[in-house]
Amino acid sequence: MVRRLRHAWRLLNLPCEGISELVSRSLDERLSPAERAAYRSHLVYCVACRRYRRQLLMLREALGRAGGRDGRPGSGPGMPEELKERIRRQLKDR
Amino acid sequence: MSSRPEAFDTRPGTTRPAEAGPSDLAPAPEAGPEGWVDRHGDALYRWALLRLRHPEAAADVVQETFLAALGRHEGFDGRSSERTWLLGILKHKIGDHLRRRRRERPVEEATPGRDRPGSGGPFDRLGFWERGPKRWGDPGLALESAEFWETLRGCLGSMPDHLAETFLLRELEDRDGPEVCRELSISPESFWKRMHRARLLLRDCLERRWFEGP
Repeated sequence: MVRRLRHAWRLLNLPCEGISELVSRSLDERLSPAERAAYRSHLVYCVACRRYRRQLLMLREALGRAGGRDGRPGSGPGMPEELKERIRRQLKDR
Repeated sequence: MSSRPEAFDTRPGTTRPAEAGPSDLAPAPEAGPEGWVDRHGDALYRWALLRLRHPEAAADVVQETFLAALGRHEGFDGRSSERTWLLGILKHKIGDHLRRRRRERPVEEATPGRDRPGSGGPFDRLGFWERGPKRWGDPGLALESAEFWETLRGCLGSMPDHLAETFLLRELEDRDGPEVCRELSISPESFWKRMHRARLLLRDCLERRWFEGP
């Protein structure tokens, strides 16, 4: 019991570095209730960690889009024209 | 480790079905290999470039993909879209390429001191933000900009290999934690550390190069 309280106390007093680790990990797995409580209560008053979380979600959206998961692939330069031409020739010759 | 904590997972793909664009529909009967490059070349190349972070490697795997597809397209049953089918082949080719590269040139862990947040990272000695995240304006607008994607590619390109590899398996390929750990033979703790470090670096790079301007 004392150990668990100590653990919870330590979590509740984590500085931004530890909280940002929890923010990141929350995107990859379910946190324990104590971790969730610590992270959520920190985010109530910490603008920087709130921004960090929003930015990680934006990165996820960007990579998700690039991965084609919402049907809207990321833009940017496509295949170089000479490569297209080379592959077209190869497909035709076979 | 579960892969999808519902509370925070806002991946578009997990909440709504993919909307197929005109070029992504199942191929018309007359569609065939001769039109592949025009219909799918750009999308496959962009994917490969982001995943491999190297134009020559991306060109090689895309070329291999089309040639492999040519040998198999009789077997293509049209159950998935042509794009999805080709992307599946591309992912296999990329997987082969990366496994070969890992064998030839094992992914190096950065030196422990340099790779730990708090040591030259964005936190001070007490663990508080030294260079805290700034406001990013409208990220939705960024995602519509071709230059943003170039910047993102540049930032991924400058990331240490072991971090980029872990991050891209998880975020671009949408693999869950245990799968990434198996693929890279790393522990869950190492996986979380790498993900956190990669996210910190990528966030910082995008802020400096894109959101704050050059």
